[in-house]
Amino acid sequence: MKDSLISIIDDDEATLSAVAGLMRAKGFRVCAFSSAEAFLKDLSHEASQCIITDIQMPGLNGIELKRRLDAQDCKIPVIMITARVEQRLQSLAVSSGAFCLLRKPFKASALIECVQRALAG
Amino acid sequence: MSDRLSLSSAIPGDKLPSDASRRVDVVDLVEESVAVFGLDMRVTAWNAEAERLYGWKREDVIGGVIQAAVRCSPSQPLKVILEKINQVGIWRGEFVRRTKSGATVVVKAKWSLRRDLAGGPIDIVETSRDITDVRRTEEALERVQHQYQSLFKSSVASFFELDFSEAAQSVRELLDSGAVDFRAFLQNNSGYVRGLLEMIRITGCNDQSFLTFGDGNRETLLRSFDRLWPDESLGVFAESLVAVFEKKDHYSSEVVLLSLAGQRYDTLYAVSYPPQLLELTRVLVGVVDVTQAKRATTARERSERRYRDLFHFLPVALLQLEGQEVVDIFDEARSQGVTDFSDHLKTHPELLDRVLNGLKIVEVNDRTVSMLRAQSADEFKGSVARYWTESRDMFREAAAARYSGKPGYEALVKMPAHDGTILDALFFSVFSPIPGEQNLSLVGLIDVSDRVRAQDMLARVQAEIAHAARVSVLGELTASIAHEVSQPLTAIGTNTEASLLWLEHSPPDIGEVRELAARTATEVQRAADIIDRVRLMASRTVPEQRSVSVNLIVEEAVLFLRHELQRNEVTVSLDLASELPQILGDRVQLQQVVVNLAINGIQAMALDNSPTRILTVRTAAALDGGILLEVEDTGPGIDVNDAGRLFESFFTTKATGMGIGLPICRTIIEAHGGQISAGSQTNGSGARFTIRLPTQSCRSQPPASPSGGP
Repeated sequence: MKDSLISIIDDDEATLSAVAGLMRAKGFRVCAFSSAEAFLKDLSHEASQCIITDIQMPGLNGIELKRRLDAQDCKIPVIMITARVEQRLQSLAVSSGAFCLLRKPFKASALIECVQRALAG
Repeated sequence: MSDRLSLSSAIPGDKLPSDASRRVDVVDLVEESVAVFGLDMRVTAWNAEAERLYGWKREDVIGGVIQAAVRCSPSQPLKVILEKINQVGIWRGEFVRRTKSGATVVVKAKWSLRRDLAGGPIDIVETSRDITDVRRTEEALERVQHQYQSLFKSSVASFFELDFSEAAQSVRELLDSGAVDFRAFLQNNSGYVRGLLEMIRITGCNDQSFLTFGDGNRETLLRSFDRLWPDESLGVFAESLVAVFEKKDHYSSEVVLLSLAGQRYDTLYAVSYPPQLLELTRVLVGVVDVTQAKRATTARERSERRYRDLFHFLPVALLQLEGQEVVDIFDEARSQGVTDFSDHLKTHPELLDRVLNGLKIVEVNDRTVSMLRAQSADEFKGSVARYWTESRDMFREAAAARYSGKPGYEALVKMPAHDGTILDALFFSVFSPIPGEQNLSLVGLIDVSDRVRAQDMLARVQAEIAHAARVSVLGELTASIAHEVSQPLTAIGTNTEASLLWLEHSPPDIGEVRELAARTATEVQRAADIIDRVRLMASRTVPEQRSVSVNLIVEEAVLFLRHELQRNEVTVSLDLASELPQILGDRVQLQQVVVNLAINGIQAMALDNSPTRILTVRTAAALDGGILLEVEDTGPGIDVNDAGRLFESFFTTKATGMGIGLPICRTIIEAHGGQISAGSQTNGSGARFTIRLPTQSCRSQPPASPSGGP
């Protein structure tokens, strides 16, 4: 589990590097992308054991990315994070099959717990 | 008679020359020139005066014909003279003769024929007198007389020659009757004065007199002087008599006279008295019709009176100032070559005090007394210095304006009233352009305290409304702001947790922790910046007038709306002109305008579900020197029915809008001396808002919020 590859996607550079840093501190291998398109383009993306993605991003957003992965029959668990508060968005995320949804600012321990559960599942 | 003796010596045939010369000496004592000549005209005697007068010595002429000696041109031919003398024995007449030196002399001569006992003619004795000077004087006198008469006849003045004798006699009798106060007597006895006038006869007058005072008939004017004098003018005539009594040689006064046709004339009456009037009979009087001049004077007096009335009763405080000392200070400065007097006063503040103290208040009107809260006009004596303690700079500029020859100056000033209240006043000053009156100036004051107070209050209310509008915008942006702040907070929280994890490693990874701490500090700053922006929008500060960059304001506004734009999937296009001049304004309010217009555009595009969502903010230098700011969207655009009401308060097309956004934008822009208008995009259907703002240099009026001024 320690060697698991975690892919992180967020257009906010500060959040991206912070989450990536946290995962590295927990001993995971990390791949960081500033957009969903960049992630999909990367050939190694299918090697990820877990995906952490922001929902709201220019271009492809987090929910659309999940749909794209579903269409490819990709079963990698997707953890979604968002700064938005709208109820509609939350239900959209849940119904899209997100492994879990975290609202910024979240507790680091909550994200770690989420990731561990995803990897265990 | 000795001359008879001496003359007999000249009888031809006298043989005793020594005796003769002795006797001729007697003739030489006579003051007249004496010449004796025979009927043949040959000269036999020639006395000393003849020698002196004609220049010929006796020996030159004796024996020669008289004509040779005197080169005569007699007033009558010689033949006529000789005929006359043969008949009556005597002839008197004048000769114009030439002397030896060639000079012309006029002589008055008498020829007497001497006869012998038998009555036969012997010779002719001529006695003559040089009257050259007398004749010259007479001629000059004649010329003067002629000139005088021409003047008398042709002058535009009327002249009267008066026979004063009867009146003079009457006055003489009055004075002889006892000691009387002549002036008082005349004043109390207008009947007597009238009587004197009746005694005075007009004996001559010129054409102008007839034209002015006659009734068409030349003769009717030449009667009593009395008819020209209305009762109201008797006092003047009496005074003219008193002048004689006081031995003045002339008298003149303005007086109303009547023509025989009943026309009234304002005249200047002048009479010149000979030294002994009461003995003389003729007096010359000159009368000039000054009706026209009088009318002009009356008009001037009326205009002066009108000025006085205006000065005193205009509902504007007016002060008449005198500043000879200031004129002197100006001259002094000019002699030193000073051109910029304002600058000169800045470097010589003591000179400003001299100018202030040198400008004296001469007169103030009632309004000045009430406006400056004094008890009476007397309190204003002295210099203007006490009124300029609050606005010395304005006074300096007023003085500089006067120095540079400007016709006047005006400014808003703060002026202490006599009770200590500081008034806001519109001050204006008019400098006299009349040479010789350059030391005078007129100052006006209008109390604008109420207006300034009202403007202050309006500015405060507008600032309050603008603040309320900003707070309302913040309300609409709550979700975006929360999102904006959550980003750095997430990063901070995550970095902190990661740091703790690195510290739990064995050994702790200090390098990673250090890097995370640095990144955390950056994120804290980011969060603080967002809070600053929000706080700025929420601030309730008094509007400031600072030099600001419009481009910077646009960039800040877009930063503020970053998430709102993202959330609504709106792309921002900034088209900002480089090297734009700064403008004078309030950063918060101007940013509020940009934010407001941008939100309107974002919401319009989102509500309309526009497929293309582009918000363009453009700045450019305007042709008139100001700055152009445009905010346009690709939304549905403005309904033509709404276009005219967009900037009205409480007009809104939004479900949740208050309708104060655009009116506030307009109020803010206008307070900055600019204009805002709404229109449509050139390409496509979107809305476009255009703002024109003046730059610092072309700003024509102060902002509507004077309390915020520098």
